[in-house]
Amino acid sequence: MSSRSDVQSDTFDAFFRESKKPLLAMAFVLTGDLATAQDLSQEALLRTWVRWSRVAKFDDPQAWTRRVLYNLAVSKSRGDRVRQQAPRVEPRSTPAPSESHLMLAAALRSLPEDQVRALVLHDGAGHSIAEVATEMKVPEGTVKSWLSRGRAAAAKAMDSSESTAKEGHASF
Amino acid sequence: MPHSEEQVQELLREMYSTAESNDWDVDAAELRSQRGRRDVPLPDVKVLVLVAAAVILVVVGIVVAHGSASHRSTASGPTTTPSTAAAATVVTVPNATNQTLSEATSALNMAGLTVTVTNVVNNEAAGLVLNQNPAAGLQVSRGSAVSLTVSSGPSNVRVPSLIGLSQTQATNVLGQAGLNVGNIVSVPSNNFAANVVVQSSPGAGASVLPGSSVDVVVSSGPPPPSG
Repeated sequence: MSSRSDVQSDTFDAFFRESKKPLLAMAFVLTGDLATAQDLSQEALLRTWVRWSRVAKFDDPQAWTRRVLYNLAVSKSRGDRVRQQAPRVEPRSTPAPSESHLMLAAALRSLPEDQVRALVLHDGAGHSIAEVATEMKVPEGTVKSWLSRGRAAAAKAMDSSESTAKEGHASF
Repeated sequence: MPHSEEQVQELLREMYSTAESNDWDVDAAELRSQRGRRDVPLPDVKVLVLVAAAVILVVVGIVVAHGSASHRSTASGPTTTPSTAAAATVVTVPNATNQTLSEATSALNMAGLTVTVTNVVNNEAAGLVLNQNPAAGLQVSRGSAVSLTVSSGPSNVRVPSLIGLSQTQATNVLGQAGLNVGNIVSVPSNNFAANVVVQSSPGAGASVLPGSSVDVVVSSGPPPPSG
């Protein structure tokens, strides 16, 4: 016989296992730094666990966690102090961030969350348009639109951030 | 050189595989155990507990200090204040009047006084304290005597001689002796004028309780001529 909290733990652990990789990928493309990505993913998952009794009842619990993660990444890059409850990842355990990754991450943070997710699923993970459409519960046309607009905006943002970086203003 | 959309796609693929190959090793149970650990600002709770403890300690300290201070002032002999020294040798006389002798004696002894008793015959119940000297409320030296006047109860009185007295005179005489007039019976008498007491019951000299009634026989004058 398992208590209510045991059931909660079990369902969360299943959610954790299936959400871990997509969340980390999302976090990484939004931050460009693995240590930060892991910190933010853990934080988003912990905040999910804290509210798990409610979040578990959502149609798509991972969407909630992803929204938290996106907000955390954007807030952190703005320099907002993110109150982190999850234990911090030891930075030396992860590879040093590359400049191009940091630049793309900064560009992606200027995009809406849906566009970022579509880019991660299609361009990153290699899913087909149809699979992304099913996954995101939107028509394929919408996915195509998000992808092209997202890429264009990201490329443009990288251009401007590169010129800013050349003037000596590092981002992130 | 402007970035192309192809470069964005390329970088995204690269970053995704980097993320995929760098799975972080925190497991769900470990993460769950973090819940609430820094949820509540613990320092604040600690501060509250410490403040509460400090307040309790201060209050207890004040109470203890106050208690021991008052204890010292009553317990130390040589440095006793004048008022408390007087209390040791001067006592207030308690009330003893209208109590039984045993009650009064107990109260006086507890106040540190001795008792001298004077019994008097009285209509009050035997053992009742009728009077005391010195009076209640006076300050006297500890160990001094209080004189109590105690009823030994009513004593018998002798029925006075009433024969030859008028009914009015007899009533007065009985009253002076502490006796009451009881039934009055009229009888003819050749020897006594009308309304003169010819007999009493109990008779003269009898010992009776104070307040007793004495029946009297009164002459109604000579009997009417017969025949």
